[in-house]
Amino acid sequence: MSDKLKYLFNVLGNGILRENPILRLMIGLCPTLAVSTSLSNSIGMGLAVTFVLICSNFTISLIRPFVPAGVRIPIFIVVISTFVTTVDYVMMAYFPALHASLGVFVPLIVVNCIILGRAEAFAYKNDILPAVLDGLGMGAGFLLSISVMGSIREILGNGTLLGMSVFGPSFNPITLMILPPGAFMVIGFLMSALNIATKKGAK
Amino acid sequence: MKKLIDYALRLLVICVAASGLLAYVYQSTASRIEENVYREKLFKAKEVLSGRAEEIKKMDHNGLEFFRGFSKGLLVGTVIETSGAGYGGPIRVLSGIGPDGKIIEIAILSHKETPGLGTKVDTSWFKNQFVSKSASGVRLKKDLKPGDADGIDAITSATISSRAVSKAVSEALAEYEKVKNVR
Repeated sequence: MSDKLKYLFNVLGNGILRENPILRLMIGLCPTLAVSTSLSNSIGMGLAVTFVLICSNFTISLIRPFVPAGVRIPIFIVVISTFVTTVDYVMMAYFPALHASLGVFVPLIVVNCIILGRAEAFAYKNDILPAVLDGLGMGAGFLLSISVMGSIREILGNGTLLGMSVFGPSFNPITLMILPPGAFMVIGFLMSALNIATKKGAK
Repeated sequence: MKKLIDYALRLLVICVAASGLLAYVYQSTASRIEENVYREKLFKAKEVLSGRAEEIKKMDHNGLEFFRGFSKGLLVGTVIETSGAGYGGPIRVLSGIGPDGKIIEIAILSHKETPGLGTKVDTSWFKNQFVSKSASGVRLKKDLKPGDADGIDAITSATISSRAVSKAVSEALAEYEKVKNVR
């Protein structure tokens, strides 16, 4: 494998484990905690964020030479919110069914700091191809961790997974798990689990 | 100073480009969005009359817009759109009301509630609670005064969303009283 290819592969894999946005970088926590009440919500949010993240990383990497460091943040925000609004309108006009189920997540994407964070930390300093791969990797890492959280919370808090009953009618769900305190507990356990697992590997 | 002007100009260019793009996207999708919204409303209007209506007629009375559903020329129900203030913005509710003044079914047209909590206003167990209720029975149980007969169970940790729907439905029933004799 050539060095270039190795580097690109590295960029792609980075977001999934080593620099997992939620469990490692701890960015984008607010939408994660709020939305991970069920697996279907988590997948919807994860896909929407991944899509916007790839596109915003692409655009920011593209206009990079034109953006001076002093005003980069306002420019990033304009680019990201333009993009999110466009996605919202296009979805409303051409995919109304998809908008009906994902619509509530779209405005939340603007304030997801993973997108601004990656624009600032990666896309602004790199070429288009690595920037797009970074978006894909980070998006996948986000989708993965929010889906794990969503599954745990839905199974324990509602007794279902993707709306289907897991334990049968005799199970008494722990409603706390789909309320905010449950989100904090699950994310804490997940973070420590990942830390323990990766520490063992390093020894 | 030169730097400042340079920054301002570049920011201006980006913002103008962004607003140009947004204006274009808005213009080219607005008519389709409006059409989708209307089609969705007609579809839901049939739904909240439990499929009893074969024909839906749009009506207008003193600026109040509503739908009437007919089957073989007979009136089977009236559909009124109202909205209540939810947790994340207005919740638009479509109420199907039978000729007896009782709710046939309700539907949620749009809302911006918290995913996983307030979004449950659009589940059938919540909406079905309104079936066959008249104006006295659509308040939340926790808002009832002693002596009131019947109410609606609120959704756990989404009282504001539940109350918004219940208010919208009772508003629809109040509007129905104004238009029920309109032909």
